[in-house]
Amino acid sequence: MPGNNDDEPILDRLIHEPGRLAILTVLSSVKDADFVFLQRATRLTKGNLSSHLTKLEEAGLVTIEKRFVNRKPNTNVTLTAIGKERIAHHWDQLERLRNFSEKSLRELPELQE
Amino acid sequence: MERKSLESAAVIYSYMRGLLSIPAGILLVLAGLSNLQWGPLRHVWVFVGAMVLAGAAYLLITRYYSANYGRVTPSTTAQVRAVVVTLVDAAVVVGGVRLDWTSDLPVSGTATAFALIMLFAYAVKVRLRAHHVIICGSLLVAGLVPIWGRVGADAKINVGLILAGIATIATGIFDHGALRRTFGPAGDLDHGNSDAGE
Repeated sequence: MPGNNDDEPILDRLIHEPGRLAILTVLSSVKDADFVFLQRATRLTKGNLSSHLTKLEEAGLVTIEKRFVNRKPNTNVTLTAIGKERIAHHWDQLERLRNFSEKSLRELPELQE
Repeated sequence: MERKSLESAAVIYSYMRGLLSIPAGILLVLAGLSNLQWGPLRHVWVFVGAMVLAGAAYLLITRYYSANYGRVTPSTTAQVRAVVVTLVDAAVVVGGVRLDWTSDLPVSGTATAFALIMLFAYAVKVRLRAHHVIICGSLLVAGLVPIWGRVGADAKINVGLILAGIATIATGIFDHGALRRTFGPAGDLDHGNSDAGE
């Protein structure tokens, strides 16, 4: 991965893991979502989703509220302001990385000549 | 990883809970039949009873979706967009019904208005799928075919309502199928891709 100077993309390891990236991307498009919806949208198993959410909460990227809805326990998840900033930045970096790769591929034939 | 499909998951979920369209569609059909004084529906209380049942069915279906597919609060932008679309839809339906009531055109303003609002709502909120185009397109064609002259405003509006109701029910059934394909069948929660995590 290019990362020799400040202009080059540096990926956030905590967010880059596919499960956590999926969770944060879903949450970035809503006000809040519960555990069941996140499981449906990301296709993660209960155990995986739970473990990822714990890591994201510890990092301050999401807040988790346990509550009762219709007398049934419900876990509601919201992206924090830092979480919003970090996921937006991460997708920007991925976009830059993709552009960088495409540019490098375009320049490849010229280098070979 | 598909960023767009993850970002649109909540919007798709909010607007493709097709089973919710079934009580609404049944009410449209019953409203049309009631206005036409058809069978037992000529009594107002029968329609009022149907409204109560439809309301109860709506609540039960909402609970079914919440239990099996979860709860999500759309973003403020999505909520504002939904309100704007609803206001535009209401204005178009009122315009279509008024057109049928005040003029003697050979088209059904009511059926046409419902077809247009359904196409507009799906195009703006989610994206038009094949079944939207086929069902709402058929309703639009039915409304615009010049066979509605000399049937009277009453029949034009109420048959329009019945056709709109049938289209709403049909769209809802296909929307629910699309939702199941996107999020998986109900009650099948722990068969996700466990490799997606750690």
